[in-house]
Amino acid sequence: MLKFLALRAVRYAVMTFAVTSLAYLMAVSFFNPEAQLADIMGGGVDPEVSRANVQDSLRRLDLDPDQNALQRYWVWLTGILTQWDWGRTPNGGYVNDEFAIRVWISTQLTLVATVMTMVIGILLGVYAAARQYRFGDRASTWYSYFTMIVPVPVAYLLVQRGAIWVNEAAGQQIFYVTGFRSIGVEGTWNQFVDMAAHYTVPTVAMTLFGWASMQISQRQYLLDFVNADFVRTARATGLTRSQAIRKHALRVSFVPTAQSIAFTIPALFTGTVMAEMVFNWDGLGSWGLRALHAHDVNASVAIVFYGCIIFAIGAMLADFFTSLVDPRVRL
Amino acid sequence: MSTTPAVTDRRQTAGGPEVVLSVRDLNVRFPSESGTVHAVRGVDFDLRAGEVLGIVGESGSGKSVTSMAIMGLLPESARVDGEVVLAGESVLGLSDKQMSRHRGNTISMVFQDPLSSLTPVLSIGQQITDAIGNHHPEMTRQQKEDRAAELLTKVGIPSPEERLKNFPHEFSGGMRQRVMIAMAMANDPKVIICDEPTTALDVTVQAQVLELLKVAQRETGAAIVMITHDLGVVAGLADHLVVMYAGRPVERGTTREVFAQPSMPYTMGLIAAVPRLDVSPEHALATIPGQPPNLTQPPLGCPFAPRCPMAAEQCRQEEPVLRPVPGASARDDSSSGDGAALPQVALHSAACLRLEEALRSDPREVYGVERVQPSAIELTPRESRETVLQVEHLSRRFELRSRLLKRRLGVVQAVDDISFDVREAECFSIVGESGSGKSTTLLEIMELDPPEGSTLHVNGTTVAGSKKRHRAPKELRAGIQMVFQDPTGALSPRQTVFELLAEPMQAQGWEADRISRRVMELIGIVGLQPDHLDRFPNAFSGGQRQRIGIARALALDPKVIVLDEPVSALDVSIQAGVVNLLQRLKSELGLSYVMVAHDLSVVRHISDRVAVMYLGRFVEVGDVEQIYERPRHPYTQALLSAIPVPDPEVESTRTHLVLEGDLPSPTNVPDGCSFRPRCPLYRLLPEEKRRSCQEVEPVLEPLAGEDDVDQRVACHHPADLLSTREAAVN
Amino acid sequence: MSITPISAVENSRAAADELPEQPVEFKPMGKKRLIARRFVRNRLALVGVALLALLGAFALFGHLLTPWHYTEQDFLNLGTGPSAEHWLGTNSAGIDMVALLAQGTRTSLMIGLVVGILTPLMSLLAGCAMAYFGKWVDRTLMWFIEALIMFPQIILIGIIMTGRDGGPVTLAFIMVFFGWMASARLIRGMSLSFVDREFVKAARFMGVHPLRIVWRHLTPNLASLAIINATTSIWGAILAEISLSFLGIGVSVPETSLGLLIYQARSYVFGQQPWMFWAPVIAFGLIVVALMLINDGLRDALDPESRAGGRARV
Repeated sequence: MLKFLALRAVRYAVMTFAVTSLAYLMAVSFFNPEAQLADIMGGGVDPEVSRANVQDSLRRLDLDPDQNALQRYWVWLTGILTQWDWGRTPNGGYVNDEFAIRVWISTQLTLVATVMTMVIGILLGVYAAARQYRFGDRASTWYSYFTMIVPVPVAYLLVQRGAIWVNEAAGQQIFYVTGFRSIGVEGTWNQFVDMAAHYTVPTVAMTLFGWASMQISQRQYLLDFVNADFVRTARATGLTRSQAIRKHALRVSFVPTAQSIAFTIPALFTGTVMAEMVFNWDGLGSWGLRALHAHDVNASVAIVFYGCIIFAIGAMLADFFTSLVDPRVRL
Repeated sequence: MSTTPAVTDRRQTAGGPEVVLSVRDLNVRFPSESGTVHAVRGVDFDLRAGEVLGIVGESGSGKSVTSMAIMGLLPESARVDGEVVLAGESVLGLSDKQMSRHRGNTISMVFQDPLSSLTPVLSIGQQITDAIGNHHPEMTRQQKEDRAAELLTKVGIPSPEERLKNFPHEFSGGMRQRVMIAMAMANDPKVIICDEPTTALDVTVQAQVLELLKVAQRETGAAIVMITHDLGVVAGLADHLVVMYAGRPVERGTTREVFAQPSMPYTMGLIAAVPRLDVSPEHALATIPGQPPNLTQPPLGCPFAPRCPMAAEQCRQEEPVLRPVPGASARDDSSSGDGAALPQVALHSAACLRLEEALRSDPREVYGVERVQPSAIELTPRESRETVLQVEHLSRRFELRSRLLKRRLGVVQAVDDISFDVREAECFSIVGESGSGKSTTLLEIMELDPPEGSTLHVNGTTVAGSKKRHRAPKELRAGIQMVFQDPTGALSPRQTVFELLAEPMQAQGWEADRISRRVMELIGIVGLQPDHLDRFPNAFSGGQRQRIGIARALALDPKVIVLDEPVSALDVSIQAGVVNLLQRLKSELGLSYVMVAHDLSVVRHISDRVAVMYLGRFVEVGDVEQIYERPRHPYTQALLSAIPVPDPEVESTRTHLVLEGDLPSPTNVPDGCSFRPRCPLYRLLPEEKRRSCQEVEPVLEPLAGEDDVDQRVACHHPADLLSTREAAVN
Repeated sequence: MSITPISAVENSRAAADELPEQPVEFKPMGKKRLIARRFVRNRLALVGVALLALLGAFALFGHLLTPWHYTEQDFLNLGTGPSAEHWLGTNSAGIDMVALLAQGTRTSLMIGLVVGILTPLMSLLAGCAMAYFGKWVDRTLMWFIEALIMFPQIILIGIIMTGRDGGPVTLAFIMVFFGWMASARLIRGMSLSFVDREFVKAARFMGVHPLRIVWRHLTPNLASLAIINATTSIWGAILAEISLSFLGIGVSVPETSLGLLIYQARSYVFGQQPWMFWAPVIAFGLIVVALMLINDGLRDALDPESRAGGRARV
């Protein structure tokens, strides 16, 4: 198994390199940071002077617009390989630093939501399968389909609105619907309360509108095995139907679920971007969007790299969990 | 539904071993889209400790539903009426929870498909200890594991402690079935129900499993209910027999009685429809026309009447009940006490209004079975007939790679340098266990694109092997056609019968007129109706679909037809019709067949020559009569002796040479004689004679001093072979 | 995203309500006609078609309902409510909401149709190519697919859209480019297993030309898959457009789309001008409902095992 995981890791490393390089080359040739920067810096100044200023400032940041794409790629790549330096942003910040601050914020936001989404999705899927065609099944499954067709921004906006309504009804600020913390809160307990008040709404939004596909697939997987021959065998050895399903069908149904983790995690990456946008969190998603609008090559590519890593982690976790639940793939 | 004390009392007072399972008037109904399916209608039987009851019937006869109803494993939607008394307790109507105390404890079950019947993600040990622990929560883990290991030893699985840790996918099919039997034996049940326990297995493994069931019965003293479609299986095993048709028992009695004097026309037909392994075929097989009735419409009159050659007007009016066959005597053990209160359960009885006439008739006459009349071409000596297919040095190898890492695990020599020829109007069959390479051989022939070093001669055209792949010319294809095992899979569901039959002719570029004329001819030849032409395949039964498949193979008037298990997917009564059709076509059209079949009885019935294949090589080739009467290779002997004969008299005198182990992994073929590790003869040989088996690969050779006999054997010690059988018995 | 399970459930329930199949009297009927007949028999599917037609008409001709153009500002009415002149009011820039909504629906439907039609075609092409050529074509495309799946698409779309100031058409094509992989893999698998189907082997052994085998056996199976896929990928694309426009990397001013309209009205959810937010949401909802009904109808009509055809023969 270790050998297999190692092989997969190498494969993903190669692909990450290829994808990130491609993204860099694309970004370099598509982006035009001096125009964006000129808009900001050049108010009222002579266009020629402003243009020179901008180019000058970019050159100092190793973002020389006059170099060709391959030259810049080489500088960028050696920077990463030798010093793990992902370069500078057009306004002078270091990608490494800015990334480090935000990756933690995003991870905090995503982690709880991911775990909740999976746990609730799997539990509800099992519940629905056990009560097939009865009210609980219909209600939960219809809810899942409903959340799958509601556009994500609309959904998050509605949750946000709901939280505001609760605040108004309670007459005090129970939930914060924007930002990830308040400034100037002192004391561990107070900080914790403040954190919870900020985290609840986005986490609830991401969870409520996130478990649908997990629920539907888990339900289907379990239903596929409820009438399997081995469940009948288990009943023939003296288990009741529900015992046999719990003990045998459920375990087997986790095999495809474990494999589907590979695609759940990258999907959450996208969901996080939307949540950060709606709830105004300064995480990787918002940062990345701003980088895109500022035509910031280095920051955008760093996000691409991050996405690849997330994908690889998801895929390898899926392999790992699959090998845990399915003895047939152990090597 | 309710427990009647009277029933219990009677059971205790009856003589002989106690009745452990008693079924009265069992009825099962399922709601379905097209109305209520009355799947089981009035089944009664008594089963005493240590007895084996065989329930025989074709698919849809209600035999499996009966067993599931007894186990309480039918879906909730099923409506079950009647009475089932298990070890003194009435169990119908018990809740799932109450019934689960019995399942696996007083009554257990062995299922058909060992591949899907074990949970893939739990170890064998876990599953067996669970089966024990479900009823013995007081046992410690260690005790349960010891018991599980003991059970594995009993069912003949070596090094049980280690095997307990393995998962089902690490076992072969036969081994899994052994595990299933171990689980069924776990708590010394009173009754073991076996639902087609050997249908999915090879004949050699089937023989092992049947032996094992006898052991299990001895060990646990359990009564066994054996549900099967295979008359051979029950002939050697069962004490009593119930024949079911359309959800009803139509005949019952001791196994000997039923086989000796089948009294219901259906039973007669069934027995006469099965080809025999032990006698050379002089007659065609009896065919029962038509299909089993649709159980949504309760039949008026005898359900078998529409197919019965003896049916009279009254048969269509009233449904017959079981009544004793005249002259049958009551069973010894039930004649004492008040056993007379249940005469119908004990006596040889049949459900037929014309029972008396039926008794007096010969089944062959009833079904109008004809003697096989060889045609002119079949009487011509083999040497003077034309060679239509010649295969020289055919080989095929595959690479095996592991699932995840794509590591090369080895090379499988699926077909290893085989040669044979087929003459006009001749059926050449290849037999062997699954994995022996027989189907690959057929496909390699049909590809008409052999690998380098191999040569095919088809109807006088030579196809030399080459490295590059290429498509055979269509003229060549016209001369050799194929019939597949699964008639459903081989017919495209989106084409009508006409389109299906026309396809090969269109491929040859025939004109539309000619195609239409030929299609009409074809349906006449295989016995279909013109109005069938507009239908899609899913409107037909399995037997009819196979006829369509045969008609399609005949379309281009080929010389050779390749048959891949042509009847194994069909029910017994349907199978006979297809076998007869194939035989007739051979004789009338002078067709030649290359056939693969696992049913050695069918092979004997229609083949002229036979080859026995083991791990990609022929180990014995020759005239079918010669080989069946005097098998010379130990493998052939084992194969033949593994097949149960549908005749209890014969079966009781036969000794089964049970081959140990499974077919070895084809990546790991031993040096020298590849059969050596399983060879019963090898084990008996003195050391000096063994050496040749270890070192030299035997080749096919005629027997010493019998050059004129059409029989060649690949064995170093054919002279010692005749003693194997005796030696194995001792 | 697949909506298979529930419609499968619906189908089986529908089947259970049906009469037992009548003996079929065979009149040769073209397969297309048969499918059309089955589809037309499904009331809800027809409702779906009608609804979609209405939405299409609104998208094409909705601008005739108002004299204002969707880029035209009415400086006398900045952010006003519904009036005789502006039926749905104007936004804060003074643009007529009806004009915006019509144009937004048009853009979204256009994106949906382009993506919904081109994506299945591209999957079909790639999947068949992989299965047919095998070897290095297969391996290269598989790598490519895996790389594309690995790519954080949101960022890549962002790079292209912000870097090139792309309009709705660019967006649609980018979405096609990122949408074909999963079904391509599926189709590849289907085509590969197809070669092992017994009736295909039978045809091959009869000497039927490979192209003819593909045409007669493989195409009907794949085509129905592609048609059903198309409807789901249409609303998938519209959904994706909403998210992307909301993030500012989709359609941007002066063009408009449902997503952009929702973004612009994001503070009005239940605020002073809720219709600004809800009108595009409802337009989207109607599109999805229409497509789902059509999808269900197509699924029934194209399923060879479906017994929906039995209903008319009474």
